[in-house]
Amino acid sequence: MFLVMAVVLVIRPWGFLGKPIQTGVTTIGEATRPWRPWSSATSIAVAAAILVAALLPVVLGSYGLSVGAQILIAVVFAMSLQFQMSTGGLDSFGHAAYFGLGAYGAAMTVEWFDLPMEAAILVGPLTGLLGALIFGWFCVRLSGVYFAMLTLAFAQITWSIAFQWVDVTGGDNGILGVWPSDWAASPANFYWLTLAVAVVAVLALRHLVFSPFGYRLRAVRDSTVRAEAVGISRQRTQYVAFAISGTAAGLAGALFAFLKGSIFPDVLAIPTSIDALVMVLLGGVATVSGSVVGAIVYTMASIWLMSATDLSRLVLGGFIVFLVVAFPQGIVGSLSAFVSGPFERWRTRGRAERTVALPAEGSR
Amino acid sequence: MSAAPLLEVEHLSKSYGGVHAVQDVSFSLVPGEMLAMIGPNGAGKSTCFNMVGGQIPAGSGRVRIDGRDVSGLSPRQIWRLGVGRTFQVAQVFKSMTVRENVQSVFASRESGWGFFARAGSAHRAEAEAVLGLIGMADFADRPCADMAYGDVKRLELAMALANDPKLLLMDEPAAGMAPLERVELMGLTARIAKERQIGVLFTEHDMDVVFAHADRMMVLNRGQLIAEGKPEDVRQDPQVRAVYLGEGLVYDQAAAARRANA
Repeated sequence: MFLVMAVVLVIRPWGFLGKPIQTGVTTIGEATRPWRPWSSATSIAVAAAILVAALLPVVLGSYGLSVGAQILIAVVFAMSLQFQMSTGGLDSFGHAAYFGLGAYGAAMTVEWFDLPMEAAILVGPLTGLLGALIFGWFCVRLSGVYFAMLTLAFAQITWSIAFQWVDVTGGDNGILGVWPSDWAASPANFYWLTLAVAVVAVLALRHLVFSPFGYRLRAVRDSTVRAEAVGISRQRTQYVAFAISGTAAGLAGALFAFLKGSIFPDVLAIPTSIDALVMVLLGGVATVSGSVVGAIVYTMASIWLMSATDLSRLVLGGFIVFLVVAFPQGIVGSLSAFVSGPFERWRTRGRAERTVALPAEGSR
Repeated sequence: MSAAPLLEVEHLSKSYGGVHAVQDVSFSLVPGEMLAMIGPNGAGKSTCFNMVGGQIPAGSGRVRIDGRDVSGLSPRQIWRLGVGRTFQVAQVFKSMTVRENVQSVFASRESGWGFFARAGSAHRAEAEAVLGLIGMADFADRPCADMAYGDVKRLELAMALANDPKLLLMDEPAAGMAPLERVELMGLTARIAKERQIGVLFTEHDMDVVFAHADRMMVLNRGQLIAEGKPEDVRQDPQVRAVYLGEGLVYDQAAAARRANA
């Protein structure tokens, strides 16, 4: 069924009877405040947070550390989607595909080729990249809701392959026995490994947002017509962004396989894609890396609720509804608006507000 | 006309369904010349512009820029030939600051992936020079979203100029601006065009602006070119007067009817 959906979207995205409509690239992630790299104060705060995170193995037991690793993996996964959604304006409903491809890529490297974890962690992002290159080639031809639907269709196709190709993927039984190398086997070491990967991945994606490539990507998101008229190719730029995002998601998936020691088709299923979307929304779509906070809050809430109540999904759903209503710009989006408002006023104090450069009061 | 034409348009036509939006339009433009295209709403001005800029494919006919046939080229290939354009409804990157908008234009010019540099510091001086040229240097750090529409229009001009173009296509550059702003913007454009020998093709509804700055003008009505020449000649053209002032038929008929009744 999803195969039919994919074919229709590729060949006639506007439906069998419909006509192509011009979808201007407008997304919920549209930022109105210009993004800035971290100020030195923020950088220090981030460094401090990383330091605290690195010291957690001193106080946490093995359960706490495995939860910590899971949160860090969610951070990488959410950030990969945020790069695509917030910076690229490409709302993906099927980001699980690349996470799952990375997980399966890593698990199969161990299972079929008997290679160690180090190799598998390199293969994971590459399978994510490969998937993104193949699916993205079709997806970036579309925009808006058609794009989103096609990503969903591809994710479902990937899921059904993992589910049904029992000989290779183990089908419903998944792939078991995907354990880290000896040096990373202890919870603390594996936690530090995921922390290192997460810090590098988040910083690298943030750097990309402020690189010339990131400017091109944001330009295409803001105004495709203008971008094309100044020599920026929408398709090429978005294709590269899609591939980068898929690679990062694959990296998260590979780590996830080693954290759990096994992998099942449900990493490719719709709930995984939704989790990523919720993390980005919680953090703030209009932010560069708010999803880091979104991922931490969401993962902690879902794990805690799972043990605290029988109705964890219901309570979590209600919690998300509350957060989205209370903080429509996401946690980080709302916080930074709250902090930067007074700060901006202080910064521009005494400076006369000039909105119009030329005298506009003249008349004929 | 002594210089070789920069832009040559020959027998350009475009139909939408049964509507002939542009019919058999031909004109040319030399470097440093300001050519105005005027006409009532729906006359086909924007369609003409979009065919020259590559935004929509030409129905038939030919467009040559600097002697090169540009039929079938994409807007970004045409941009690389040295064509800057502004749009009827300003198109800028509104999540960025003013300077970043111009820096993005420079970022597009680079070959390669552009993964490693810091774009915020790249081309900063060049971007500021372009902003200085149009008098927006003080605005460099302002978020685009906070700008008055007239300034957004000027920013768009800066972005079009960033590529050091040979040809500027300006579709209603002054629409939505305050009257004095319009005059200044067009005066500025005319000055830059003369200095840098840029050919400018523009449309405008404000006749004061057109008569003040156009070297030559042409009038489009229902997709057809009905007059072309020096502004003062075009002004006297009976056909143009008819299009702009109406042929007075309704008034004449009413008057005739009154006379008949009297």
